[in-house]
Amino acid sequence: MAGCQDFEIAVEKRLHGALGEPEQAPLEEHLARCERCRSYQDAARGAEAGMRSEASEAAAAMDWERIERGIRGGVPASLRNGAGAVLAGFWVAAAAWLSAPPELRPERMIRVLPTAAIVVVLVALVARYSGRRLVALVDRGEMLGTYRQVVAENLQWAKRMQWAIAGLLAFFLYRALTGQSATYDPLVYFGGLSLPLAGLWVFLRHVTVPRAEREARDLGLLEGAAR
Amino acid sequence: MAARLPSLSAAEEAEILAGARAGRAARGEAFERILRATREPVLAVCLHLTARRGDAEDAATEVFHALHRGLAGVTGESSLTTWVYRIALRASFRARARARRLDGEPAPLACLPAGPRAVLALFAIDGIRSGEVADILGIPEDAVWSRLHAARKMLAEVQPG
Repeated sequence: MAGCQDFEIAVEKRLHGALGEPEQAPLEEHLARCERCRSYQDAARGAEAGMRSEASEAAAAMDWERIERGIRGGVPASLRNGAGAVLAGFWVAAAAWLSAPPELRPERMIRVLPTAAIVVVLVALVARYSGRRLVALVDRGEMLGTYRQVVAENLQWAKRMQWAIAGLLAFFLYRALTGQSATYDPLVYFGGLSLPLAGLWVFLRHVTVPRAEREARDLGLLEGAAR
Repeated sequence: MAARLPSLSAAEEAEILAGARAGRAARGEAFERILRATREPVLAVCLHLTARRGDAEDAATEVFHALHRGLAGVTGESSLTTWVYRIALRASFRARARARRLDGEPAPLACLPAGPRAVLALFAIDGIRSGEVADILGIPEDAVWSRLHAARKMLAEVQPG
C-alpha cells in the first residue's frame, strides 16, 4: 500500500469484512497518523449507518401484506393485455366502418379486417413485451451499460414515434383541407382518428420523452443535471 | 428490521425455482419465499436510488409484480437474488425518472448520478459481499472497490459542510 487512496480503499474493505489479516496492521498504523483517512473512515461509517437506519424506518412503515394481496389478487396481465388488444382492433374496425359512406361499408369492412387482426396481434405482442421488459435483459453483461443502451434506444424510439404521429396528423389535416375527406363523417374522421392521435402525440411530447430524457440524464447519457 | 441480505443457499434457490415452474400452489409458495427473503433489502435499494419513500414503495411493488410474473422464466444464469437486485435497480431508475422533481432539499445521495448511487445503495445492504455487488452490476470484483471509493468521494463533495 502506498498512498491515502489505497488506505481509503482498505477502509472500505474492512468496513465490509473483506480486508485480509496481513493488511489490518498497516491500515491501523496509517490511520493512527493520518487525519484525512480517519475522517474518510468516519464519513463512510456514518453514511452507511444513516442509510441503514433510513431503510429500516421505511421497511417498518411498509404494508407488505397489502402489496402481496394486490399482486396475488389483481387481474392477470394476460387478460388485461388480451382485452386491450381486442379493443384496439375494434377501434380500427369501427373507425373504418363509420368513416366510409354507407354504401361502401361492407366492402370497406372486408378490406380492413386483416389490418384490424394485425393490430390485435401487434398490440398483444407490445403489451406482453412491456409487461416483461423489466425482467428482460437483466442477465446480460454489465448492468448499467446494458441499461444505458436500452434507455438510449427508448428515447430515440419515443422521438421517432412523436415525429411519425405528427406526420400522420399533418396528412389527415391535408386531406381535410383539400376536401379529400368530404365523403367521411367529420365527427368520426376527427374524433375517431385525429383526436386520439393528437392525444398520443401530447402524451409522448409531455410525458414519455421528458421521462426518457430524465432517465438518460441520470445515467449520464445527456448533459445537464438529473433533476 | 435491518435490510439484511438474504442468505439463500444455492439449494434453496434451486428449490424456489423448481417450485416456480411447478403448479399454481407451489408457484405461490415460491413467490412468497422469495418475497419474504428479499423485501427489506429490495426496499432499501429502491429507497436509496429513488431518494423518496413513495417512489421507493412504487419501485419495490413493481419489482415484486415483475417477480410474480417472471419467476417461472428465470434461467438461472445468475443467482436468484442477483436477478432480483438487478430488477430493483432498473425499477428504481425508472421510478426516479417518473417523478418530475424531488420535494424540498434533496439528500446528498440523491444528487449523485445513477452509477455511484447504485454502488453506495448496494454496499449499504447489511452483509452484502463485494462479489455479490460485482455480480449484480456485472463488473469484475476488483472494480467494485474503486467504484465504491469514487462514489464515496463524490458523496463527500456534495455533502454540506
